Amino acid sequence: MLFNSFEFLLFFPIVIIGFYTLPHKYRWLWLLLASYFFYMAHEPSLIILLLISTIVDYFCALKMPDSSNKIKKVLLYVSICTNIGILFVFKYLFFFTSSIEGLLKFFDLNIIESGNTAGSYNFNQILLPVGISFYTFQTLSYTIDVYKGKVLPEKHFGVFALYVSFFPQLVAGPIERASRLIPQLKRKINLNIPDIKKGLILMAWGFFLKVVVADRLGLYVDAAFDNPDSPHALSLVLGFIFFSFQIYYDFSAYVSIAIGAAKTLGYDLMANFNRPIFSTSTSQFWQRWHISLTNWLRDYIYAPLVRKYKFSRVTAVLIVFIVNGLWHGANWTFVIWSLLNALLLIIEIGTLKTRNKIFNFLNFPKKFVSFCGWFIVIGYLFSSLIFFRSPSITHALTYYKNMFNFGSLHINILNNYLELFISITLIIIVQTIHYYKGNSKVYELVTHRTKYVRYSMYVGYILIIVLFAINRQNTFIYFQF
Amino acid sequence: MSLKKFIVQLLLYFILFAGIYFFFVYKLSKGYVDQFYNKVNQDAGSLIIGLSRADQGIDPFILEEELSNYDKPIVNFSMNAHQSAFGEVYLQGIDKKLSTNNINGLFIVSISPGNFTVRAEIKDDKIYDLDKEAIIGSIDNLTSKPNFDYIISKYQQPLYNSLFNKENLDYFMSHPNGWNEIALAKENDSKDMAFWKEQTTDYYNREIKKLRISKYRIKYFVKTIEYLKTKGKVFVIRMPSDLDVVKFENDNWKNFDSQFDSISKKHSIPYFNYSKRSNEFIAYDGSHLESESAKKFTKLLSIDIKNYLKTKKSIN
Repeated sequence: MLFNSFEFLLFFPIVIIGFYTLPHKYRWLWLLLASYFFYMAHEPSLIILLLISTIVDYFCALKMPDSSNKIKKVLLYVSICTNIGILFVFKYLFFFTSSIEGLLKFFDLNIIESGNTAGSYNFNQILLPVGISFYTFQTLSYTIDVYKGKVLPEKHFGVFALYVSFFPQLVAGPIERASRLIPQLKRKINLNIPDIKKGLILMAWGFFLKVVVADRLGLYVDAAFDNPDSPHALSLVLGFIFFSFQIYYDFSAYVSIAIGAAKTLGYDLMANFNRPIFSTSTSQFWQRWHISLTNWLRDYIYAPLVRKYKFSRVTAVLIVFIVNGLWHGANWTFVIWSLLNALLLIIEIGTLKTRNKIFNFLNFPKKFVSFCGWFIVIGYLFSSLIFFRSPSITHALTYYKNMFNFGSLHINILNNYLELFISITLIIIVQTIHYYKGNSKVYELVTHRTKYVRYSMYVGYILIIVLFAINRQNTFIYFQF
Repeated sequence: MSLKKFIVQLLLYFILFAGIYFFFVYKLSKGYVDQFYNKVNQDAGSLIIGLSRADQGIDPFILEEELSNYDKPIVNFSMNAHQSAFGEVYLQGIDKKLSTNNINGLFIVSISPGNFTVRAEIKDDKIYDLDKEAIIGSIDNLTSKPNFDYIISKYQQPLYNSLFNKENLDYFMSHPNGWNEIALAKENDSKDMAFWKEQTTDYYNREIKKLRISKYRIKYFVKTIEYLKTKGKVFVIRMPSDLDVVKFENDNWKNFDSQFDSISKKHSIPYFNYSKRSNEFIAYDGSHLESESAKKFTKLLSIDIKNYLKTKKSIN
């Protein structure tokens, strides 16, 4: 079910009313049923995968504390193999087989029987379950934490199942840790109208970001990326800049709605963004962008590689970013995008001391250095997203090449200057609000105002949504991951 | 604040939202909506079927005047390759447009290679799902005026457009019978047209590499003309466009005319091929006829239909 759909407009009030009407001891069941309904609204059969992950991880973790170290390890491997196995089959099998096929063809090896290709086995017809990467990482973190003794296993199966499937963050995060979310799910929640208001305002902000800003930018982005051979270089440049804002606002919109929806139910989800566009270095960017995933990769891949397996930091960063790329999608374009980010990060860390010495020697003001850092980092990261958005490496390379054909200054590829102006204005407005209020305290724009100002803001919001929304009923970009 | 007051407030905002939304949807429906809206708000007696060449190149009003014996209204139900290529979905749409007791309709089925191609990566068994996402596949109602179903689910522009009336653009007129008329402005000269044609041919040259001919589309072309035969007289035509564009199409699909001529003959339907007479008309962008040429062409088509009905000779 999409947050930006009429179905959700009916579903959500029913869930809220049911939740606060029921006594505490039945609420987990209500939320669990609601979460499964939410997930099944997309494709009912895929609930089976979610249930398999839930059941396997529940029992593996439950048995761990009373088991010997050897058995504990076996249980951990069972959990990891089950989750990664499902993820591999449903997300990466076609990519894997077609990549091997491509490699064999490249070396002119005919090991595969004639006619039998990844496509002919219909691996490409396997349906990608929505949000599989998110809930797999979430539930994996639980068994790893139980194995390490960081959290105790959850004995209540229903509460654990709810932790895996909690509908606000089920399909696109934030990837919550059991230590944060499970205690909240067990806590008795009292009706708190100011908190509900805050939650609703966050949701409203998310809807605005999605239907007014991100989907509007998407119109231009689609036109630019559908035609990478375009002779209009400037429109291609604007296309990738708009895409960078589109993906940020689209994902940020989802997270705002998720955090807001959870808040109306009395739960606090972690912030997933912290003004990433204002980062002045790559390391800072990755601490502020998709925070829950970055933390996951840091805690469960980078840290063990460096501390336990004694990999060099550079190798560990490269592995983490390859995983990061593949996590986003089964396509080499994602891997290249992620490795480009890793490259800048490695250069940044490797040259930190030298750069500081030079800046000190030249006596550059700190603000100037920060501005240069911001300009280079954001420019580089934005342009690397061309790989992220392109369906193939060839497509991306064509796009890059034609961006430098400085023949045409034509920028108005949608033949609508007003929309172009509105798009740029909206980016400036959203960035200003994010700068002052951050990503998850936008409700402060409203809550501290007088009654009549608040009412006017609500009416103004309704008018903006009605008049300026783009009716594409588009799914969120991060749903596909 | 009490819970009761809070819920009442929320309900009031929701009602306000719904009220404002439907007010602007209604306001939009009173003026120009978009290029496809006029195709989905009337029952049809007769239809013009095809893609954008037919959409811009055939005026139903002239057909109604010249061929007055057929069921009215004649609606131009052609859109473009994304919206109205032959398939189960388009056929269902045609069925919805026509009233059940329709037996004396006139059906102009315009074909070009574009009607039968799909992206190379899309298999034939996936085309139905793809077509379901298009306008005809995703709305139930193709005959109401105002058509709120269309505006709510398929109108992708912001509703602030309802505040401006865009109907009277100098170069574009969307007629209530579905014809989208493109007129050349006085300042447009041959240089403009040469530039537009270059853009079109560049686009075709890029696209051709990504496309393949679909047996599914050909199968549904046959099903469509077979269905239409039960509802009246059917004429399959290939419209004129720029000679270079016609040559490009013929080079890439060498036996197109003979193939569809024989399919049409097999189903006892005349095939009128006007692509050889392209030099008599102005295709402003190399592909689509401008207003005057569209009227001239429709008139010529009407005369040819009349003559055919007298002599039973096709125009090839």
